[in-house]
Amino acid sequence: MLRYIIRRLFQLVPVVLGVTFIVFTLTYISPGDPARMLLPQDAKDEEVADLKHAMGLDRPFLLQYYHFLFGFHSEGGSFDYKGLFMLDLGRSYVSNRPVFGTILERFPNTVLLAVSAMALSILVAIPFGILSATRQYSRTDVVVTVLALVGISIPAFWLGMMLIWIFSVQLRIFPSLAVPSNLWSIVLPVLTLAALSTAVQTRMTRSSMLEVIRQDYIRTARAKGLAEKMVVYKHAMRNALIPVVTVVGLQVGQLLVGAVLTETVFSYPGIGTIMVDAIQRKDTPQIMASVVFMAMVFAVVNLLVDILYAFIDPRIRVQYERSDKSGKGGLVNARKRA
Amino acid sequence: MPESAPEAAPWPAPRGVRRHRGSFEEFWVRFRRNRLAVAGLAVVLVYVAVAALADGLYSYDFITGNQIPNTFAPVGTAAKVEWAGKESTHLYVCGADNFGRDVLGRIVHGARVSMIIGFTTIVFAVAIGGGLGAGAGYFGGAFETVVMRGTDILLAIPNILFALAIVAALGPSFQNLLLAIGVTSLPVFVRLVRASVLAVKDQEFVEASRAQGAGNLRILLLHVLPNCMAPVIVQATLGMAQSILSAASLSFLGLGIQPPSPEWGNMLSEARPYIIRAPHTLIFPGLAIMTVILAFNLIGDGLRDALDPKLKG
Repeated sequence: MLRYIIRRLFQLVPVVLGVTFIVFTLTYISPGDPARMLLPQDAKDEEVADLKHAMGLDRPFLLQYYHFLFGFHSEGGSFDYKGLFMLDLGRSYVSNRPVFGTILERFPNTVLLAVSAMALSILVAIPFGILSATRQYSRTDVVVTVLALVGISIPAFWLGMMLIWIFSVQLRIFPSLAVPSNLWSIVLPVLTLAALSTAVQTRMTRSSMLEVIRQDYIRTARAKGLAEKMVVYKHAMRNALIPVVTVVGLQVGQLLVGAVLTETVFSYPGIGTIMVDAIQRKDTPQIMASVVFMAMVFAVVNLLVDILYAFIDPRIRVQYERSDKSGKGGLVNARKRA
Repeated sequence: MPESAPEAAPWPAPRGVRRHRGSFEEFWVRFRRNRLAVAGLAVVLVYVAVAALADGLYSYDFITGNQIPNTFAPVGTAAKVEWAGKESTHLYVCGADNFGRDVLGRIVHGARVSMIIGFTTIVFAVAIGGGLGAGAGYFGGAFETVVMRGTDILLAIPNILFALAIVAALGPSFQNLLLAIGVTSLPVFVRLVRASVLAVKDQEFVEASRAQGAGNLRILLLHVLPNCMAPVIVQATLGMAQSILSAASLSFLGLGIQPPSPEWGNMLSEARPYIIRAPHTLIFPGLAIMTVILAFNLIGDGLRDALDPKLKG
C-alpha cells in the first residue's frame, strides 16, 4: 500500500510540470504586453523596453519558465518573486498584493461552498439513489430519474439566477449576494453548486445499486430469509457505494472549480471570482496563479481519492497491487469501474 | 465488375464491414423503444431546423439592432416597430430585452451559434483525439507513451478551467472559443478510442485480415475502428451537450461570443442586472440551454443502451 502511495506521488510530478508548462505557455503566447499596460498610455518605447527588462519579460522562453517555477531576481529588486514552488508569483498588476496571498486568503471561502455542497449532495443523492433502484420503474423511480436528468442538464449559473429570482426577488427569503460570514446567505449558492453533483451521484448510486442487487449473493441473502431492509442496507449497499465514492471524490475537485460560475452569480468572494476579475482586468500573474492553484488542488484531491479508494475496497487493493506490477495507473482502472 | 473482385471469395466478409448495416437496423429498433431518447432526438432536430432557418425566421440585423421604445416589452406583446424604414406590428413572443430586442429572435439565432459550436468542437475532438488514440492503441511504443502522458496532463486540468485559461490567454473571439472547447473535449476521446482499439486489435478477425495481407492502415480503418465506434458515438453525443454548456458558460463570463451577437450565455449575462424588472429576459435563454442539453443527454443515454446492450442491467 505504501509503495502504491509513493508511486502515485511520483506520477503526480510530470502532471504538475505539464500543467505549469501549459499555463505558462498560454500566458507567454497571449497577445498584449504587460509592461505597456502597467505604464501610462503615452510611455515611450524605451521605457516599455526598460520595464520589460526589469520584469524579466525579455528573456528567452525557457528561462522565463524556469523563473516561473523557481523564482526571479530583478536588478532593482522590485519585481522579485520566489517562483511557483514557493507559492510566490509576484504581485497583482491591479492591487499590487502578492497573488498567492489573495488566493490563500479566499480559498477557505470556496472550500466552505464546495464542502457544504458536497455534504448536501451526498445526503440527498444516496438515499434517493437507493430508493430509486430498489423500486425500479415505480413512480418514485421515474420522478427521481427525471429530476436527476434535469439536474445534470441545468446550467449552474442559470439555476443560480433562477433561485435568486424565486427566493430573493419574489419570496425575499434569502439574500442575492452571498458572503461567507453569513451562513444564511450561502444557502442559495450551495443549492446551486450541489445540483449537478447531487444529480450525478443519484444516477451513479441508482445504476450501481441496480447492478449489485441482481447478483447471486443478494439472491442467496434473500433465499435464506433475510429481511429486505437487511439485504438492501447491509449486503447490497456496501458494494454499491464503492463506485459512488469514486465519483464523490472526483467531484470534490470539480466542485472547487465549478464554484467559478456560482461565485460569479452570487458575487461571492471566493477563488473563482478572483480568477474572473483577474481575467477581465488582464491581471496576468493573478490569472496564472489562480489557474495553476486550482489545477493543483484538483490533482491533489484526485490523488487522495485514488488512495482512499484502494483503502476502502480490499478487492481493488489487490487489483492495484497487481496493476502496480504491470505498471498500469490505478486511477485509470478506478475510473473505468466507475 | 464482380468477376474481377478478389473479395468475392467463398469465406464471409470481415465482420467490421458487413455487420454495419444489419446492426444499424437492430440498433434503431432498440433505440426507438426508448421513448425519452426519441423525444430527445426530436428536440435536437427541432433545434437544428431552427438553427438552419434562423435567418428566415428573424432577420439578424433586426435582433441585433436596438428597438429602444419597446425595451422590456412583456411576453406576448404586439408592439409597433420601425424597421428598414417601414413601420409594422411585431409580436414579441418571449418579450424584449434591455435594448428592446426580440428575445425569441435572439434565442433562435443563438441556437445557430450553439449548434455550430457543439458540432465543430466535437468533430474536431473526435477526429484529432480519436486519431491520436487509435494510433496510440494500435501502434503502441513511444508514440503511445507520449500521447497518453499528454492526455493525462490535459485531463489534470478541469475542463472549464482550461477553456477559461485558453480564452483568457488568446482573447475572446469565436475562433478561440472553438479552439478552447475543442481542445478541452479532446482527451476523453483519446482515452476512449485507445481503450477500444486495445480491446479489438488482437481479436481473430483482425489477425485473419492481416493473414490475408492487409496493411496496417486498412486493418485500422476497416476492421478495428468500425468496431470501436459505439462508445465514441455515445461520448460524442454527451460531449455535444458539454460543449454547448461550456460555450454558454464562457460567454456568460464575458469570454465567449461578444454582444451584440446573440448567444444564450451572453444573453443571460446581459439580462442579469434586470432580474427584478424583466425576469423573462433571463428565463427563456436559460430554458433554451437546458432543453437542448437535456435532449442531448437523453439521446446519449438512449444510444448507450441501444448500442451496448451489455451495459444495460
